[in-house]
Amino acid sequence: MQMSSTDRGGYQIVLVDENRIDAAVAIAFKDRMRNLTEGRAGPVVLDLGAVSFIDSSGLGAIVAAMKQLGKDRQLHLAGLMPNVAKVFRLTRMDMVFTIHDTVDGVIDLHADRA
Amino acid sequence: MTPPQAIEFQFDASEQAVRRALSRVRQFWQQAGVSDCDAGQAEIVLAEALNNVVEHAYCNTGAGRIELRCRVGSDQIDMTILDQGGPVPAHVFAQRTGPDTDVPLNDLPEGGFGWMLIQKMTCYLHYQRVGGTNCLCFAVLRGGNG
Repeated sequence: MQMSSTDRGGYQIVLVDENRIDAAVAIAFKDRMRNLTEGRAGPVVLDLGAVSFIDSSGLGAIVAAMKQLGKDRQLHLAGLMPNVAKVFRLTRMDMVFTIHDTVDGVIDLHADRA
Repeated sequence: MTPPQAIEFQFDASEQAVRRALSRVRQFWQQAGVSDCDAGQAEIVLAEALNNVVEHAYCNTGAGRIELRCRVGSDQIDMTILDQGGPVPAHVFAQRTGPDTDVPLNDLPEGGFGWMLIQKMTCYLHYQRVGGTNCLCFAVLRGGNG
């Protein structure tokens, strides 16, 4: 699972460099998220800008990742393509996650508050 | 030349084979003139239905075959999935409401989204067990706009 992490404006940005988060990679995604975020602090932005397809297993894996981060580390989602956004909307998981158009949008929001 | 309007093929009941099957059907939809939006929606439904066959009917054994038939009509995309795995329990087809999202973080559901997506994205859904074969027929409307 190609995923990488960078730090910007107090956020840990995790980029998913794959075009699918589906049943075939759901466990690998969860493991990689844990490896990248373990032992750190602060909010996390999951950059889904490269992901054009997600199924219910992939969605479940993102929910699991949010639980793993715990209450003190908020998980933001950014860059959802239309077909991915639709899955969040139809399952009402768009009510659970903070969803932004772009990663820059999250950082700017933070800058405004600072 | 008239573009192909129907496709039919078989593959193994594994996650990787499902990925390849979806890719093949996407290519067929493109050739048949299905819009990206409609194809995106149809792929989600088909993926959920096929994942269920792999995970539940064949219990993730990787053994077993799946037959897929798809026909593109002017108003809708019809799909039929046949497999010889275990039967689908009736409660699966009960009408789904969305999960309760107003719960503490640790109580959020990590599954159970699949049939909800299938129900919400199809205009027709019918399941029949004939002998030892599961037959799931469903259709997705064309002309969606997001």
